Amino acid sequence: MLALEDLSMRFGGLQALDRVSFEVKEGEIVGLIGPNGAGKTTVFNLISRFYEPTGGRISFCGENLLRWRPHQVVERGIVRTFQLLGLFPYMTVLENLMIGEHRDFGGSLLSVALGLPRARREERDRRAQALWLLRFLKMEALADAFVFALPYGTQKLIELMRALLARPRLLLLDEPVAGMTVAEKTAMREFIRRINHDWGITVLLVEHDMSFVMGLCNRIVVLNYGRVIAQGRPEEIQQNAEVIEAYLGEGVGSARA
Amino acid sequence: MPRQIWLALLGLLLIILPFGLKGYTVYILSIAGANILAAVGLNLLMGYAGQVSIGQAAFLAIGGYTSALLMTKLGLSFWLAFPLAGMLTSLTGLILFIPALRLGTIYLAIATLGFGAAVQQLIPLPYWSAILGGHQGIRVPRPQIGSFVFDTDLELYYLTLVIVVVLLVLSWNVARSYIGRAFIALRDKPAAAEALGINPTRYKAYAFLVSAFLTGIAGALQAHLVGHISPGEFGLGKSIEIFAMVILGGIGSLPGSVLGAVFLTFLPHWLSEARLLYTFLYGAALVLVIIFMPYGVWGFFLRLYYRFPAMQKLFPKGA
Repeated sequence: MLALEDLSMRFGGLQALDRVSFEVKEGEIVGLIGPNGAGKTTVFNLISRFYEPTGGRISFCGENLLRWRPHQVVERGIVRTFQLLGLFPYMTVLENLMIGEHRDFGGSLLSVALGLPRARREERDRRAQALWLLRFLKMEALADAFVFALPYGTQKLIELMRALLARPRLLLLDEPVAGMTVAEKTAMREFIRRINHDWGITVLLVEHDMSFVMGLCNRIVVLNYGRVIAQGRPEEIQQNAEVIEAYLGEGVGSARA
Repeated sequence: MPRQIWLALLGLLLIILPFGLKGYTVYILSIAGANILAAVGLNLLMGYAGQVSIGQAAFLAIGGYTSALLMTKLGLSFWLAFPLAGMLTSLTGLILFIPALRLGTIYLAIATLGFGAAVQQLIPLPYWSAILGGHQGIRVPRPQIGSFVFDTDLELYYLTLVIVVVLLVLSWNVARSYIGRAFIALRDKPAAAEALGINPTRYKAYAFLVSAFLTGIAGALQAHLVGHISPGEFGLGKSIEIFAMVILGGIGSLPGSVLGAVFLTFLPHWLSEARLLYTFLYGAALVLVIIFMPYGVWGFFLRLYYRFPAMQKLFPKGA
């Protein structure tokens, strides 16, 4: 589904990514791990088209992804969340969710200004859809709350819900459980499993919590200093000497922040 | 339901308001109406879309001259020339949209400052003084619909009221729509907004189109109210005045812009007795409001609202 081939990114004198190649197949949950500065978020930012790679290719469902501009990536079915929250703090939860539905709006500026029936119906339908998702997760009480006033874990969940409303085929999650409590992490793991299994959404995630990653992902790709040093099933990764040396350390499976 | 009642009462008040007032005050109220549109136009651009402009007076001038010339030179009727002036001005808004694609806030502010200065300097040039009237400016015809000429302060007030209410509703519709949300999203977190499919080029263009349209209409309205237009009215001072209305009312709040515009339109008249001290008092009043109401007049009201439960009963939430 998603294929990175010899992807390189250089920022001035820093080689952030060096000929990175890996693939995400339809239906998988793939974890991207590695120490801080290994280039994980850079991979996400390249897929989001925020940067122009200095070398290599990215393709999605056989199409050359590098031909698209950032706002066109979502139209092809790739949606992401952000490490440090991409929510809009001065909007309510409902308004944030409706940003996720942005590309389903099509009313012209004029029809919106005049409040024509089509524009009103569109607004009403999208609102109902977002409320449906809130109700599905028993969070409808939060609809009109301002995002900045909510606990961090809740904000993370809302950002994920917003991404889902954009109807992804491939979901990129940047540290989905960072800063969450144990109970929240368990709930998040179950939620991502359901998204993947019941809704058929492929997931690529970056996360430092190893028990979370090992327990959830079908396959893991390990980055170190901008290079892929290993990839495989969780059990294989846990046994890999180079990965233990570079990242996991002794006592494999313990969480590391 | 209570919200509709309050709006109806407000509407009624605005309809009977001029009967208790002197003709001159009614006239100033109409001028305030034009300023409301200019302030709302800047607020959508600056408060919602995060694009600073201190050259809005240029759009006032373009709207005013365009409406006047369409009537006097091309013989169009008012109800055609007036909206057309807004539309043509909104196209000139795209002149500022191009630098806005590349420039950060402060640099855009400087670019808009330059735009404002350039337009004001261009108008009185001798090359087209036969049409634009040079420094003296030109006479602007009274609004006329059919054979009815809006001549008295009272008639002009009601015309203004209708125009302002209609455009406020349109502005409110845009602000509360997916387009308004896209403005805010691009302002607060451009990367996240783009990753969700919001095209920054398109929405910046929308912001400038809408803002220049409202400001052009404001300029045309003011020109028709005053009956005359000249380049001297559209200096940096005017741009700053509109800017101050937005800040004073509360940035990002449309009701705030209405209050800010009315307040700053009347303030000079309240202070006119003070003569020599006038400018000082005007400045001092601004400073005091900024210090004691950092979120503008509307923000101040909202704080009172949340502090006093009685107010929440009177005006239920969601209004």
